[in-house]
Amino acid sequence: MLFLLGVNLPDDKLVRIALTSIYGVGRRTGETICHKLSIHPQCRLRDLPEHKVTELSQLLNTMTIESDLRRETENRIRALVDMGTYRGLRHQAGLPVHGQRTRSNASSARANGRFLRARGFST
Amino acid sequence: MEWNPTTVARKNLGRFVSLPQDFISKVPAAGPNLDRQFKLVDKPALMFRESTAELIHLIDKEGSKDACSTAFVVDGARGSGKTASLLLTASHFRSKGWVVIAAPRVSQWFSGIEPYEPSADGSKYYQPDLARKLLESIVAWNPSALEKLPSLGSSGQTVANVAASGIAGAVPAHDAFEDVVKSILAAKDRPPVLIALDQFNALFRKTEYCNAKSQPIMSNEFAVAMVFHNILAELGQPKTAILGAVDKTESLVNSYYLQNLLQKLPAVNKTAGKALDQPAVVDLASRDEFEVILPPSINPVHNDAFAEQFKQTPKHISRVHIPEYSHSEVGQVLHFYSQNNVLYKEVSDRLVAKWWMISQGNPLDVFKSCISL
Repeated sequence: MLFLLGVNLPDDKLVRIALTSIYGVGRRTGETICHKLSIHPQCRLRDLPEHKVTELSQLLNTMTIESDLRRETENRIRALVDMGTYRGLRHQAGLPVHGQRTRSNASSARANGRFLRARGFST
Repeated sequence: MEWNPTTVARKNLGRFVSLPQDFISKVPAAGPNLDRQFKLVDKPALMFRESTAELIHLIDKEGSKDACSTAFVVDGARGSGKTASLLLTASHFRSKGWVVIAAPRVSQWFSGIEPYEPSADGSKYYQPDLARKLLESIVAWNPSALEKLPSLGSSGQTVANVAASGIAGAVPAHDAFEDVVKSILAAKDRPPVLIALDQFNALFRKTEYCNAKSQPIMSNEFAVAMVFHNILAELGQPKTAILGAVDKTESLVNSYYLQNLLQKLPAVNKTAGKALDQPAVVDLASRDEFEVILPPSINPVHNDAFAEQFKQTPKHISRVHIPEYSHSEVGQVLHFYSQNNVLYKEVSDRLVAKWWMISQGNPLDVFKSCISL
């Protein structure tokens, strides 16, 4: 396992897939990172040379990921709540924010809402 | 029967021949269908067809010229035996003492398996591991011939020394590869050279790699492919024959650019069959540079990014069309499969006729229908 920026990345996976283990990096961003660093699509993390790992680390440092991203998300939600907006009220209530139905479903929002309320709206 | 230069005789047409072990051991993969067939019959056996004999004759004639005038491209329907013809031809000329530069699976160069890095100016991309593998294969294919050829780029050294330096990493692998190929082609006192590339269409399409802006990289932007594109664009090399086989089995290897080039060319071999996918000839007043009449919205060549960017067209291409099996050839194949326990049926005239009708003479369909029973 490669330990990078506080995250354990699985060695046996493709680099562009392994990078998705980082909070804030999805498949598309993972591919874009590989393109910028000229990492071939079928490269596994264990086959990455040392200088590429260094470049990868430097590039990831310039991005908003992990704790920085979580903090930013938390601040945005808290700002909505503090302003007293409708969206903030929905976050507080643990209900869907984007106009979905609540007569049925909405279980994800309810589960996340409980989670967010427990943590004081910090993610 | 083992395949060697003396096997190329009319009396052996239709017979199955085994590729020499020292040849097939240097071919890591002939293709999924051929590899499966070799595994099932427990030997690398292929049928010696009249089209293969004609191809060998064309290559022999081209290799004896003072200047290479054309590149032969083997075309045909999916599973018609293009790779088989290429393997038999390459083996034949290797046994005759020619210098053979062969690449059985060109698609692997651009499928994202090999590491790559941009050049300093960003105009091309290097694949050091691939260049090293190609150097190793050139040395393996021609163990003794390279030691007698002088290097163009490194004075006082032979091509074998340059190749060894490139493989060991003493010099950049791509520079060594380019030097080796150019030196071989420019050398005066040397045997004829055969450049044999399977999946030739992979050289004329976009690759699985992307640049820093996430745009797909075209195959001609890779340094290794550039070496072959330059050879095809210049031609004129002494005692050299170039042979490429198109692959229609893998959809990711398809090249609309090459397909369009080949469609316009008549076949140069007498055994060419009638192509089933000829477009209808419609006389219209205005045609574009490819003489294609379809509107841009549905014409794949217009939407082919490679066709827009690629300016270094091959100087001359000759199309060699591999026909489907004839009725007698289907009989020979079924008899061979029956002898080697691939087909568990009694081979009669009626069975052969039925199989020929069902498969329409396509070798791959004959094979697949035998193993599915």
